[in-house]
Parts: sequence; structure tokens; C-alpha cells
Amino acid sequence: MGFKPSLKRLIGAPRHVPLVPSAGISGWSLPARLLRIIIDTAFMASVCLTVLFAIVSVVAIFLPLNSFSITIDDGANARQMPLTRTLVLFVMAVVTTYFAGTVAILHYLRLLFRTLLAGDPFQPANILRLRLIGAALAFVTLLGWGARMLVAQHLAVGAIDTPGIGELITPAFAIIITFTLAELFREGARLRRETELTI
Amino acid sequence: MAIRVQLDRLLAERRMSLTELADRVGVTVANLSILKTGKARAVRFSTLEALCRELDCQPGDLLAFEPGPANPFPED
Repeated sequence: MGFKPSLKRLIGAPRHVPLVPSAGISGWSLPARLLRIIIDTAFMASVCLTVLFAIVSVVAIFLPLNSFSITIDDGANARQMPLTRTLVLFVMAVVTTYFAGTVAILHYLRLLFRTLLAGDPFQPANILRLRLIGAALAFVTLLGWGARMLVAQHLAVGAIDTPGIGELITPAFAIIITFTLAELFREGARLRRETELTI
Repeated sequence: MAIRVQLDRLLAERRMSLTELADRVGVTVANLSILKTGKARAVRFSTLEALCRELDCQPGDLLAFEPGPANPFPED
């Protein structure tokens, strides 16, 4: 059958998972328990940081910046550079968006992980969740890298090092692995359906 | 589907209900209904054996080949 996960199912709150092992799997393994704690903690931390940076971004609009400056030290000599509102707002917007992207990734990861703990991970909805995680990973990676490049070369020359293209290799692997996992889940969901329709 | 399950005809000939057959074979009515409506992807030999035993027929009486689209279910 065609795969049409509902939006409600995709973005809805995680299904309640009891604190005892479900009948679906024979007890949660230690790595599963640890992962659940890590993901939940990271999600809560990301939500808090996103809200915090969003508030700071709004405050930065009205904050007088005349008395603030940044010191650029290239090793040989140090110089002062005025802290511009453009730079502050750009950095705050990027950081807030970065953490919002992290929240999205962890939210989908939580939903995905709960289906695993419920003993039914090969659901069509998880395929889209993994693809969205991959896309969000690519977005936050390129956002962080591009923003650093922009700050280093235009907004505050010399303040930070220009990021190298080599820094994108590891995140690129993570993105490729995520999309590969999505395809594995697609095949898993198809096999599950085959089994369901075997009488 | 190219393979058609002729459960309707066999049940009518034997004046047996789907529920009764399900009880005898040990398969749920829902699963037997999937089989009857041609939505099943595969049939286990054990199920086929039980159906043939209870309906007193051969596998060939239960299944028929009809030229047509092989798989009405597009892949996910």
C-alpha cells in the first residue's frame, strides 16, 4: 500500500511509553535505557537553550551596544573592534535557528525511539522522520558552517578562524548514514507489511 | 491479483460460514477475510494444508490463476 503518514502522527506528541519494558520487546537493554535518557535530556536542554537565545535575540534589538567591543588577537597584536548590532543580531539569529534545528532533530528522534521501545520501529512514519532528521542535520551543519564563514570573512574579519571544507566531512557522513537508515527502515516496513499479509 | 482464492465458492458449496472455517482452521476471521478478498501477499503451507483438510479439497481447488496485473499493491 502507498505510504501516507499523517501530519498529526508525524509531528504529534510522543506516544506514551510506560516505564516498564513493553510486550513488544523482551525488556529494554541498557543501551536503550541510556539512549532514552540522553535523548530526552538533550531535547529538554535544546528547548531551554532555544528559548533562552530567542529571548536574548529580542533583548539584543533594544540593548545599547556603544560600550561593547570585541578584541581581535591575531597573535602578534591585538585590536579593538566595535560590536555592531548587525553582528550581534546575525549571530543570535543563527544560534537560535541552530538550536531550533537541534530541537527538531531530537523531537523526531524521540518519536522514533518511542516506536522502538514500543516494539514496533518499522513504521512508514519513521521513514519520513529519519529523512527529516537527515535534512535537519544538513541544514544545521550548513547553517553553522556558512555563518562562521560569513562572520570570519565579512562581519568580523579576524575575530574567528575561517572554517575549512574538511569540517563538513564528519557531518556529511552522519547525514549519509541517516538517509541510508531511512532506506533500511523503508525496506523493513515493506517486509513487515509482507509478513502481516501472509496468512 | 493473478492468483485468486476461491474461498467463497468452496464455502458456498459446503454451506460453511467464514467464522466456522476460521474456528476449524485456527486462523482469525480477519485474516481469512484478507485471504478471501485477495489482499493476502502469501499463504503458508500450514494454512493451506488446514484449509484443504477442513474444506476437503486440493490446493488447486482453492487457488486459481487469472491473467492480469500481478500485484495490485504498489511498493511502499
